[in-house]
Amino acid sequence: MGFTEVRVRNQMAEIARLVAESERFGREHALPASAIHDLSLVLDEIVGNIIAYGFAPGAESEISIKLGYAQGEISVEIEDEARPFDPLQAPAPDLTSPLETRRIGGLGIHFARSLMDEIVYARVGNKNRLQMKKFLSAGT
Amino acid sequence: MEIRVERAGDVELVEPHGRIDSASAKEFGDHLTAAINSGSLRLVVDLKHILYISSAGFRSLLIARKLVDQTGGTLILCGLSAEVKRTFELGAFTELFTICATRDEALAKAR
Repeated sequence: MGFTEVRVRNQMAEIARLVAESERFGREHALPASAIHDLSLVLDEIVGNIIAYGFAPGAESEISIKLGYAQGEISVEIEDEARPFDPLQAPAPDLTSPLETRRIGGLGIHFARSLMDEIVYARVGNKNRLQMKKFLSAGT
Repeated sequence: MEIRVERAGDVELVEPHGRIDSASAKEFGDHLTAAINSGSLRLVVDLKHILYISSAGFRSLLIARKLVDQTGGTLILCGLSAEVKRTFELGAFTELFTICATRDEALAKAR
């Protein structure tokens, strides 16, 4: 059983530190390589999205990422003070267009929905709160 | 992320190391675009040392893929780990790229 919190500034360069922390967390709890991969990718996509689109230009803020592990269950809670955004309402990605017209928008959230087992969004006061779970017993 | 480059005949072999994350994807994309524009028409990207590719990294790969189509070049990917291969499948990219299992196979195909 374990828990850690990482706080990052809303700058894209912080993604590397966040992912390094999530990888360290994964190794500490002897999580399988595939689970560490999925956790890192999903944190990159969700937090990267918040940093890229959540704030007015020049605004400085901090994002809190809490990671927990107990009994085959990885839990993630991301809280930010960015503008309200529910990733679960984001449009589906383009998975069918040919090369010439293929678009990437929505792909990161598609990765998160595919790789995590539960995602719950809430707007709490002036914060977005995204809670995610991944069950290792589910096979991946 | 660190990018290593080798020439094998007239093929440029690009070997990124680490993570093609939301922050480093631009550098990766710029490298590919510059290589294609400078006349390296046959590119092999070996992803063996990549831990994950973010959606921003896929955007860079798509841009490079379109550019080699326009310039009549070749872009071949190889060395995908099981995890990286899974993200290619989740994003439905396997059809859009030429993907070889090994570097030798990719180099043979690029020539």
